[in-house]
Amino acid sequence: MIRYEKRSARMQAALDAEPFHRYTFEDGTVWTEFYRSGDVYLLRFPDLADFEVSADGTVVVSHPVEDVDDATVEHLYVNQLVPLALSRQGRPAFHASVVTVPGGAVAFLGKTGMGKSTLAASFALHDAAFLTDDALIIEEAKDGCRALPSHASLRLWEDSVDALVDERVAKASAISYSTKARLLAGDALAYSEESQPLLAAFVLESADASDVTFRELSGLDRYMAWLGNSFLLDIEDHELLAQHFEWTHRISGAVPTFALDYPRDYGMLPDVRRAVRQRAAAIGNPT
Amino acid sequence: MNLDTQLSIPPQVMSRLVGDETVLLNLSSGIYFGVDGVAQRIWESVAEGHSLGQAAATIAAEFEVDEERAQADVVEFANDLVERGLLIE
Repeated sequence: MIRYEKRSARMQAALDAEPFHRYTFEDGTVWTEFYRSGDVYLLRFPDLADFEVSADGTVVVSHPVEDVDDATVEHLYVNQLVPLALSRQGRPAFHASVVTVPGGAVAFLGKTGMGKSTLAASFALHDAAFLTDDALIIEEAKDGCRALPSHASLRLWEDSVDALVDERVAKASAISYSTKARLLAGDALAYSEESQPLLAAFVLESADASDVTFRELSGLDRYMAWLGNSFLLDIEDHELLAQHFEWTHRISGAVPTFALDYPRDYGMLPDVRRAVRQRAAAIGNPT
Repeated sequence: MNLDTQLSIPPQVMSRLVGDETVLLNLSSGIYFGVDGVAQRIWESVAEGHSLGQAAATIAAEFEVDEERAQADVVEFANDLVERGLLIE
């Protein structure tokens, strides 16, 4: 659980300390800076908001920059702060979208731009539901891993909206740091409020593929696929690192994991959905 | 370091078997390492408390390489792991 408090807008004053970690885009632009400030973490999203996270990850306080709208701050909280704060609590969290398939759910792991949200939307528009478009929170149960639902919206680039979405799907106001459209779950874009057994994970790889192909990952490749797509608030805390090492080992060992290549062609998405469902079904019914 | 040297895993290093390979984490640096094949077998042998000479004998027997070559490889690999903080003397 996380207790969330929204505070009034304030300037992002210069900090004395150097950040102990940064997320940057490929062009070098800073997305997030991680600081320690007294007994709390301070996560700075330049020109958007600061968030304070308690040392145990149970309290998050937002301080938006002047004129940054509530939807943007809320989105940062749900997509970035929740998985990071939960990681501080020892809850595994990964960069992935999740959709339902018969018997449970499957996750699509991958970095930004690999097609996680487009695949999630494609499933949710056609006889399935999405649980999250960006942050997979896992609950480890006696009978395996369960994927928890996140918020009931997903974000797509305009070209994906044009190709996939019709007027039946409601759009929310855009958030200020991205031109992606924000789509709200509803009758046409189904959302699952229930946690689901996580049957398999697919790591989104090459966009140059000419067909839909799977490659089952094992050993280090499998471990590293989960590790490389995980959220972790404090990469310098030995106890947390050790927990992270262990839960990555458990989850990567428990969830069948495949590299998924497919052409980034909207016309191929029905084939991708069919292939993913068949692969997930085969896991439960090996021949 | 020689063939009689017995190395150990420092407390800040974690290792887990993943399939046929081993993933290592040095908590001090936060850096992950993967070892497989001959390197993984050397790691296992050292982790079991064997000297470098005993590890080399294991490698020579299991991978059908001559013992002199195995000894050189084991010492080189062990030096590399010590430099990375993954083993200590």
